[in-house]
Amino acid sequence: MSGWSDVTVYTGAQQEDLLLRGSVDRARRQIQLFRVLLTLISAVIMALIIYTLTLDKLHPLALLKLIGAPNRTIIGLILQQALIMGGLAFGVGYGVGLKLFPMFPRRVLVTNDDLLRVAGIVLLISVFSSLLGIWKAMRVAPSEAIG
Amino acid sequence: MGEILALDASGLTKVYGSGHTEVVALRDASMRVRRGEVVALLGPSGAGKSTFLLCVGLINPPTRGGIAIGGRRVQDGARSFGDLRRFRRENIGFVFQKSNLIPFLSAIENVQVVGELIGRPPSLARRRAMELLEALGVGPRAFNMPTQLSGGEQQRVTVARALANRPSLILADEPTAALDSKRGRQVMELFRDVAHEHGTGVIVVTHDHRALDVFDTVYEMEDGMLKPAAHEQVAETVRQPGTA
Repeated sequence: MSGWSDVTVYTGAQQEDLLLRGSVDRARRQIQLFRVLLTLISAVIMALIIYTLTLDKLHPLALLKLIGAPNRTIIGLILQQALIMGGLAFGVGYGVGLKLFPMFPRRVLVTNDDLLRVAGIVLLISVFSSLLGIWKAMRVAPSEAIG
Repeated sequence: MGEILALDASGLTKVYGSGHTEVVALRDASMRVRRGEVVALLGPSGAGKSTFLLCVGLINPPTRGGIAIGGRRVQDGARSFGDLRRFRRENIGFVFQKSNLIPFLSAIENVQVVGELIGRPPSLARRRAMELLEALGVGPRAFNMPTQLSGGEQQRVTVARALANRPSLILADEPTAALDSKRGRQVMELFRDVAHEHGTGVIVVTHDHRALDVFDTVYEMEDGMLKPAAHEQVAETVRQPGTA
């Protein structure tokens, strides 16, 4: 049949590839872009939340420095807060997904690999978003606890 | 071998700014505090009392002069010996005008945190915190948050926190300013008892002349210069509160 001039013959793998390279591929790319944007936005939002929470606690942080808390303790507190927030967000996201995905018009398949990847991304976002708060906390002088 | 002093500060000078903006906050201030001695530091606002506390509290280094705490030389001018923050957490307790408790920790946790910072296991730090709170009469309030405590109770918790690391030196900056005279005197007597019982040197910056009889030694500071107050003057001040 491949010799006929008016038809093209595809194998199963080639057919799959052809379908994926068409409209499905475009949709996949759009979703990918959307996912990257959401990840960046969530990182910025989380960084701002942690920064604001740190600003609220500048006096206690200065007090901790005054009574001699080492920097690693203060960094640990901010990181711990960020990781707890990230963990909660992951848990809530997973739970909401379990409830909502069956209502979607198309089947949503979330594999264990996907979950692990998302957990890794959440971990990275938590760590990086706490950097701004840590920077602010490191600049607080112990004398700010006085007066 | 000489006596080990809680504090030996000699020739402390602190200069802020330079050139025509130069301000001399401390001028050659020297103070020796024995273990168990309670010292009052008097003086008008802006005299340099708080600057002196910041220097001997290893928070703000002096421009010139040396500081030894508990027999260990820690500061020589702007040059410090070792990790000052570590030295602070192991050797100095702070009490300030406002109670300065961490608002989101209970009374016992505020005291416990100091024990944990110096490496005590949490259970031991908690037990020690409870002992201190009970000794200072706020044991029943141990699990209350700072906002649920009265001013006097908050200040007692702060004193307990200052004692949690068994310090050589306690520095208190107007600790009774927010208290009525009765409570203020109680806190001053508490410092005296703590100093005598634990062998801790205590320096209290105060404007409360009514409680000067509680102190072993009284210093005065004016224009950055520190000098022992004359006995007659202190006695007169105690007789006539608010006239010094």
